[in-house]
Amino acid sequence: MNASMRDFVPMWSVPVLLGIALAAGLTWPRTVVSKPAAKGAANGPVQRWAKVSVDLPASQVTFPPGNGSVIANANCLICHSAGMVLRQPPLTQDEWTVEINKMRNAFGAPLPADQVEALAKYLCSINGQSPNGPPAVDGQAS
Amino acid sequence: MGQRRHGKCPLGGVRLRDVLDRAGVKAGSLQVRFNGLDTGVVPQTPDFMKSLDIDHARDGEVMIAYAMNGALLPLLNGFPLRLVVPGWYATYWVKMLNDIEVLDKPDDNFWTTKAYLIPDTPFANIVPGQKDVKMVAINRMLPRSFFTNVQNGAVLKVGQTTIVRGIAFGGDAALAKVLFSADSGGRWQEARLGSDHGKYSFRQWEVPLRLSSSGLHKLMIKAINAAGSAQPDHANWNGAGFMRNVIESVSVQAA
Repeated sequence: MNASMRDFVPMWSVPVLLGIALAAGLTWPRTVVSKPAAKGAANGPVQRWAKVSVDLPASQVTFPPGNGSVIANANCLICHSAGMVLRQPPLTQDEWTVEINKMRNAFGAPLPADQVEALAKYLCSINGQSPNGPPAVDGQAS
Repeated sequence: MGQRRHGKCPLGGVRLRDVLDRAGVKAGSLQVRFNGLDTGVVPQTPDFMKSLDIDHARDGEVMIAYAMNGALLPLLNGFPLRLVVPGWYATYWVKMLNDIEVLDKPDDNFWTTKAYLIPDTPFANIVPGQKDVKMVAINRMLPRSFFTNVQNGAVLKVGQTTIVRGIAFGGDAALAKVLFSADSGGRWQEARLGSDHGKYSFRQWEVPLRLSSSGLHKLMIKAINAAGSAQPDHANWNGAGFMRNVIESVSVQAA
């Protein structure tokens, strides 16, 4: 531990413990994995964090014009930058459909079902490929 | 109070075990779940939480970090508290940690059961389109190595020595050695390793390279960890693109 690290020691025990919520064990167990440690002299005074603020850069980039770009700008940009979408591997229209439905079903993207096909066509037109084998996406949310 | 090295930035924090033991963990506890202050953009997005088995959470390595490079964690690195799970993929390194929950049954939250799953196969490798694959939660990291001062298309002078450099890490075990090839993987030589900042830290590697013939040369770099896991010759494949750790290569021109 160097000198600058030592400076942080006093603020620890209290704030960390405040954040804990224990949900284990509905009945009182006969044995315990570990017992609560005695509270005591190790606790320093409560320290407050300094307020920090970070301005994240807002992207001005939108999707390239084309049939469906309005849908992409209105929906994909809620969570993603256009650059993030454009840097994905080129996908077939079916694979884009899987991705779009993953965003709708797993993450709650507010894209109406009747716009899925148009958006998949558009994404395939700007970053797509023709089918040449089994689908390369599995729709897993991650 | 301890320090761990991730990359080359020392992290300061407390052992999760000490925090759990301070609170007291009851018998029958199975997992520990971590939640942070971040939320999705739309309310329908599942709150991001990850869990570790109780023994892993209490292994003395998992830590709650509050400092990096001797200063408080920057906001983008997870200020004020971030879980650090050495040797495990970063999805477990929950940022802006504000809630720790000990569970007496397996965590069934979205991010544990439906996301960040890998095929339960060596290197999480399957064939595109392969069906009926057993999926498990992503977990231990694989070794990797990278070039940092030579790019594809670089021109090196014939007969002149260049120091080729990069970084490497061992993943879930210490880095054991880094092998370098200047002939597309035909012959391998051990690279010199830089300072060892700890089992999970990046280490710099370097090799003096003197190409004696003009033309294209494919340089390759391969990390091997203390458990004997080596970077593979061919890229793995899975739908999410997880755990890629194929040997990296760059093609340089000798002139």
